[in-house]
Amino acid sequence: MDGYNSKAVVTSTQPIISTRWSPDGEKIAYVSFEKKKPVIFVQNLKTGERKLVANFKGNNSAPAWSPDSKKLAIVLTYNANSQIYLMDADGSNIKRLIRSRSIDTEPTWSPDGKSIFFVSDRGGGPQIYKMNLDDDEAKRVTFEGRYNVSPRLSPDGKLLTFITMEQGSFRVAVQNLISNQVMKLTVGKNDESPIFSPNGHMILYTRKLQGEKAEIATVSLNGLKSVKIDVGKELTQEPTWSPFDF
Amino acid sequence: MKKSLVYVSLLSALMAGCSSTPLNDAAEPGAAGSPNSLEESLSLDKLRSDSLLTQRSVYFDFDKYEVKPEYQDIVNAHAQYVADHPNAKVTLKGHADYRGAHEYNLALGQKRSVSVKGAMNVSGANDDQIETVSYGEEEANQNCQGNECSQDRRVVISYEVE
Repeated sequence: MDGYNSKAVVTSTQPIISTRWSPDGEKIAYVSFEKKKPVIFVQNLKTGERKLVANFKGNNSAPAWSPDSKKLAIVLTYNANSQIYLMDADGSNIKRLIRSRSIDTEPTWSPDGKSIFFVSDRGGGPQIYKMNLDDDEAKRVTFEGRYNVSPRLSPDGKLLTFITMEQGSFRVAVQNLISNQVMKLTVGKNDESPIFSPNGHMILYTRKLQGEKAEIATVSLNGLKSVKIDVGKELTQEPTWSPFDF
Repeated sequence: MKKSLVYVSLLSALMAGCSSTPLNDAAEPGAAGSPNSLEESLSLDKLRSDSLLTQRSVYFDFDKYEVKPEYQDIVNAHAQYVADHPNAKVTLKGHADYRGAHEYNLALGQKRSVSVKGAMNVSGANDDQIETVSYGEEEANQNCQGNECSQDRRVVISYEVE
């Protein structure tokens, strides 16, 4: 990874966020503001063809691929708070996954496809919850700190990475899902969007220092090694890893 | 040269094709009366001059969505206006400052706009006339510091006619 051979896949004058690469490597899903509000597109990387898969009343955001690349968990609002839905990747068969009066957002699938981790403020502030798809019961996962967001699982499903805030600093953390021990890997102060590498050995994330542009960096799981990835001079944020190991 | 001639004729063909459609559009305001009566039926004068109705932003504390008491009068004035003008359509657009996750901030901006809508509902404004959307942190100052960031934590009230 050296920053060479970079190429624009989508360009727009409006913001694009939450880009997610499908596990089979064929497509990306992303959120665009080109319709004066957030809507979800799926784009085929080989043909370049893109499809508007969610354009409902209110906001359409936070697409997350199922491990078999067939479904997307998404977030819709209509005229109320953000709620999580499931649909087929072509935008059909939409159904509501969780019903609450709070914010439910940032869904992400466990590697076995049996549960969804997500962020909810049902307990007062944003915390990470887990819901098994067969029993519809949400269980709280994070307990340290008052602000935990952006969950992503390790390839073996045993570790959870997320962003935790303390004293105004946003840092990358990892929680062991068996012992529930939490380790903060970075010092902040504005880290975002952590994601495990396909081999599970390190975490890619966005970091931003005051007055400077955001940049993409990696950190090892013991927090000892943090390296900036040079992808060019432009503003970069919210990295996503290709599904293939290298 | 030949190519540009083709473009010109194509363009005029397109324009000719369009000339019949605006008639339908022109009929639209007529349904609600003349443009003048639209102006009157929506009391646009009042919307543009009233000391409360000209205030269009409601500000929030970090990671909070409750409408603070100091903005209650503005929200009430807009609720009253919407209740008094059944053909008025309002959009509440929520925002967050840049700190934290993009998607959580999008959800937070939405919760703020839903919170303002709730306060307007209490004061008699009808849900059918209100749309809530969020831009999260996408229009926020990415380098704000301290109190400066509070400018980005807001819901902006805007009307369809404007």
